[in-house]
Amino acid sequence: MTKEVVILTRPLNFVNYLSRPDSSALLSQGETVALVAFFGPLEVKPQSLRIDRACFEVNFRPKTGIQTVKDRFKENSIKSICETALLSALYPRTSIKLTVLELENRGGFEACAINASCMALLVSGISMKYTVAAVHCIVDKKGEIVVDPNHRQAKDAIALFTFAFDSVDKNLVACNTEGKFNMAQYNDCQILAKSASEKVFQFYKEEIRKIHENDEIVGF
Amino acid sequence: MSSLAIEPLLWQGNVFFCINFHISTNSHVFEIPPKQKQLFVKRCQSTQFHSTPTVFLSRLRRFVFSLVCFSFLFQEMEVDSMTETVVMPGDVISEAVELGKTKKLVLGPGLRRFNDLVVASKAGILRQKKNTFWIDYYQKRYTPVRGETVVGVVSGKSGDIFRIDIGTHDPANLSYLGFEGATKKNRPDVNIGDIVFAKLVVANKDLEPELVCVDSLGKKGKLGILTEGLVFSCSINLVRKISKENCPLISAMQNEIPFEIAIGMNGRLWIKAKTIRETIALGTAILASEKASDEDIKKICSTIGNKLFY
Repeated sequence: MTKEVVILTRPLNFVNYLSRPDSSALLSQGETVALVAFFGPLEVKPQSLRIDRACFEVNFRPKTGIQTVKDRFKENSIKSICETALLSALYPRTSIKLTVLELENRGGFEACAINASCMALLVSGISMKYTVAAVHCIVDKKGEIVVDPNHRQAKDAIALFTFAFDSVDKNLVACNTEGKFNMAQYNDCQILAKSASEKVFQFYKEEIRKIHENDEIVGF
Repeated sequence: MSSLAIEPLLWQGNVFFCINFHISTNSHVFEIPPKQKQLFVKRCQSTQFHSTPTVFLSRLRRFVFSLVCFSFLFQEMEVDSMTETVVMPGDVISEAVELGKTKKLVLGPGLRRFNDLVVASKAGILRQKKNTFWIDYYQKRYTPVRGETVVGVVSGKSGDIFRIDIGTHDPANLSYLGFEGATKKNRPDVNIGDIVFAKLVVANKDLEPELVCVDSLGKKGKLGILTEGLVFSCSINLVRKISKENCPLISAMQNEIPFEIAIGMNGRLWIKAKTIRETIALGTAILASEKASDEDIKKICSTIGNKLFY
């Protein structure tokens, strides 16, 4: 495999868009757009109270209609990915809520939603172990791997992958696959996605720098 | 004593330019900060240095020494501007780890120990002042810190305790004995919906925050119930910015309109001016200054003052 960093073909854009939540992220990855609102630490309902950690909830809202089983699946994967990154033990007896809104799905929405959720967590100032970057890639009819495809490229995909990596050890945090593929293709995809995730981490850092650009030193 | 090493010196026309110089004392080499360096170059360009090289050198020496004395003073007060790096959660702070081997470390918000390492847990700018490290990060939701003053709303009364909403996940407790001169017979008149300016005495992640409205001598000082006025919320970064000593906002606003203000570190501000119009104008000025520079803040305040009275 090539060693150089795979560049994401679609541009990333981020805005802290909403004023009411504790933080929000409107993240576009090409034509795919997700809006995430973050609330927390909040008061917790007695039934979901946990004495040793925060209760973490994700609410996924599809573009139209009510949640389907597929949406619940996405919700769950975002939840478990973000939960590994959060230091929820620092916020006992609280609840932390994420609302993920699907605005536009033109391929790789799950990756976009995970990245947007991570960005919202970063901006909120909640303690985290590491950041998470998700990359979507496909294997098309000819057996070629496309990292971060647009919806036209993704139309004739035979296998779809979403990989999530952590920022510290660059380990695989989560992986969702769909379709038919062999082990070699999977491994290739993972290596390419891992190198592309570097780009997402750089993007996070750049956005945080932008937020603090005009800051002066707030000392004590 | 200290010695001065200036190198290299350039002679251009009749002006000396000093490219790079440092002062070495007995123990360590001291670099002149960039601000002072600029000042120095300016001084070199002014006419007072334009005499014979020997006179120049003696003057230079005197000037540099005065700078050094000042710089040492500044060093004591100023936050080290060298470390202005963006850190992300999970990043190892190698400066802190290195320093921690020889010195005692103080870790501020956003940093935690992980095995033998110092690791960032928040995304923001790493700051350092001597052996103290912390991260400046953006935050809207308040996490209580002991000793900070907050503005809260009374949300409930239960027996001897008032429940105060200060923006944290749990409402804070304020005992009726936490007021000046309060006794069992002489209860303070606090009602639901009142605004309280209080100090946090207990702030722990495992306990409910606890407030008092008196200092350690039992005097109320500026604390207590705030009457009239307007409360509004903002980000915690803005509160930190305006409560900084050298922030021009409050003094610029004072020049325009007389007012009272209570700054709660929980991102709530209470303002009271003579009229509602003025109060709202001041509130707008504060919110507008979040991303403004010092000059812009002064401009914002003067435009608001002008708009109000003309």
